[in-house]
Amino acid sequence: MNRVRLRPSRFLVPGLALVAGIAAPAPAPAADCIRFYASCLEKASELGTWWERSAAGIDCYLDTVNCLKRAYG
Amino acid sequence: MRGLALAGVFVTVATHPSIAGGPDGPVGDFGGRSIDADEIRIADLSVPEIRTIDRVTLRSTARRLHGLDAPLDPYGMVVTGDGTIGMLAGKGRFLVRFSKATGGLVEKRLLADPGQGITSLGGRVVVVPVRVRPGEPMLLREAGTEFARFSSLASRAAAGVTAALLRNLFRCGSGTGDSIPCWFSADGAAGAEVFLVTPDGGVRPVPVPSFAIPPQSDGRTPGDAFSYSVRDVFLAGDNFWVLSNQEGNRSPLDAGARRGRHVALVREGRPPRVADLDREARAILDAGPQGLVLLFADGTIARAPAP
Repeated sequence: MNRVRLRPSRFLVPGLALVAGIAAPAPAPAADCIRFYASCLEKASELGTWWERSAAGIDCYLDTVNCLKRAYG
Repeated sequence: MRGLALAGVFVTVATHPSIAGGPDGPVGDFGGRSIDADEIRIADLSVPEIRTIDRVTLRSTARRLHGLDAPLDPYGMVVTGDGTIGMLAGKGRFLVRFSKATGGLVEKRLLADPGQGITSLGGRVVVVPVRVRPGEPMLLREAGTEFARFSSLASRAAAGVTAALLRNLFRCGSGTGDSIPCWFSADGAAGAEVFLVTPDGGVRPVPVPSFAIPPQSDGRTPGDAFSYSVRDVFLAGDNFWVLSNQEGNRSPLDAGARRGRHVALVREGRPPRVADLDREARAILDAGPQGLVLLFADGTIARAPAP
């Protein structure tokens, strides 16, 4: 069986790798996204008016999509 | 994994792109890419900026994006013939366009359906809307000031909102004028597959190699029920390259998860050709006779000759 192996750069400067780690926000684990969603909806449900609850609920939903897209991307 | 052709040349060439007028540096928060005859463009949301990379030399320049009052989303980017770069912002609520020449905001448009992705096909902008109900269109194409359905690809059913969000995470890779490759992040009943979508709305599903082992769900987290085989796809003529996502039985971002360590060349009527990667890759930026250009998860860009 033959196999191709594509090796990483040997001259990656550790300092640059460190910068990359700082520059790129660590995505949340998918389980955290889902816990956030439940907590977000709970808070939204405590708001005073139907419109406030709806707007906050949509925000929860879109935040969760954003979190999941980053986690699974 | 049966039927894969595994080639046998040990190869490596790596180039770190340099930023004209500034220090070398890795890509921060990857927000999307596009490619034309001469250049690759990457959206780095950590600045935010667009890096333009020469396809031959891999030398790059950066153009800062400015004028937007909402956070950009890492949902892709499109470069259209009108001299603008389109992206999504504000958690998918807005389609925004920046001048390719200046980086300044030239348009911010509220979308009727918030998007989770943006791409282009046949010179027109295509938005992937967020979906939780089954049977709704997954691709909407710009038609004047509106967006309209243009393919049969539809959202999938799931038990509960969270599972539906997961089952309908949808991405599109790098296409050509004739076709774009798209896929659901969570594999469906048919296993790992990529849909090739044409400008007339035609959809052709193509099975692709998977390195994921479906986990045994404990029922506590909806995402545990799925596997996530595909991270990126790059269409090159009649063939396409697939970058793996999940490898093994741990879903992406689980502790100890292994992902993005293989690329496979999927060819019509022939077994896929697979290459190992020594570290996690994030995206396939270019592919041609000279090889691949990959964005790695550590933010570096490296060239690797094709197997």
